[in-house]
Amino acid sequence: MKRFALTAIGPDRPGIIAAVTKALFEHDCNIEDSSMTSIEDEFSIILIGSMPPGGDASGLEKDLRKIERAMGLSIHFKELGSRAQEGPPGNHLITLHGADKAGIVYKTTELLARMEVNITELETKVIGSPPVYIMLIEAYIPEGANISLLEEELSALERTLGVTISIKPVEDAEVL
Amino acid sequence: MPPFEIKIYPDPILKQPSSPIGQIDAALAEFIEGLVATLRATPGVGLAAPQVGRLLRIIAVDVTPREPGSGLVVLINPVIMSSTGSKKVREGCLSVPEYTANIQRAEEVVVRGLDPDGREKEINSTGLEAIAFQHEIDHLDGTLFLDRITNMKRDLFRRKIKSL
Repeated sequence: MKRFALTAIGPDRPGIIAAVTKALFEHDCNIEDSSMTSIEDEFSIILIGSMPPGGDASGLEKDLRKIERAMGLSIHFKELGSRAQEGPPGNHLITLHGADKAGIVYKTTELLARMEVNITELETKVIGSPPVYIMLIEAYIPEGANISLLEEELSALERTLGVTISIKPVEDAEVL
Repeated sequence: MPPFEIKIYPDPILKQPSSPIGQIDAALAEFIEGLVATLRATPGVGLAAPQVGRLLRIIAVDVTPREPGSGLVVLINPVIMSSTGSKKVREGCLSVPEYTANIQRAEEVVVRGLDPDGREKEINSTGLEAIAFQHEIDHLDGTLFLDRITNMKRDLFRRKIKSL
């Protein structure tokens, strides 16, 4: 199987996913993991796919270019090597909210990167008027990391940014 | 008795309804022992017969490794008589490894069934045990927690509220 990554973004309208996945289907591709979501008035597709060893990657790409023009999308298509080991899933949820201001995402993620925290998912949303900024981060904090130091750094950042930040372990699932 | 192998979705048996038990005989008693031994060998707090490949209406629940409860409860032909309240629980399933979802469940249930000796039992249950009964009885109807997902995981961001 040949793996590939595909991203597409363009003005939201019905039929974007159907158009892109029709091309994948017609080229015998499998969609593996994907994230497809509307973001403000745009729609975005991020997916990993695979195609049979003899698959026609350039034919697929040609079809994708046609869809790109027809649907007003920007599509990026890239062949990938074999699948590497995935990192561990997020074990903490960091939430931030407060008045919107420049640098919230940068300063928070810079701090996390410095503390060797690996972000597994991050979403931001500006809600209401006056605008309130909300950021949810799911991240993997390595076993044995200095959580209290991280908490101290985050509360210092809270004061600098004038926002509220909380960090809690991801709720354990009940295995039934 | 060695524990049974746990069936992993998409094994089609997990989507089939189980049949009621008519007679509790020695073979069934032996199966129940195996079901309990299998439960004990897992990190789970409940197990239903179809999860080990038998379409029988039998469940075994023991939440006491995680929180207080009735201890080991084996119920044959269990039925939820009544349920009250509603809460969201993050559930995982031995038959659907590596995936969890937030599921809406009743907070409190009254469950009735037969114990392994054929005596009628009625259990009033709350907390994790009540969740476990609902999850395991779902298995007897071929229902997985995947069938009960009602929200995207980031529903906080998706919910639209009319302005005041």
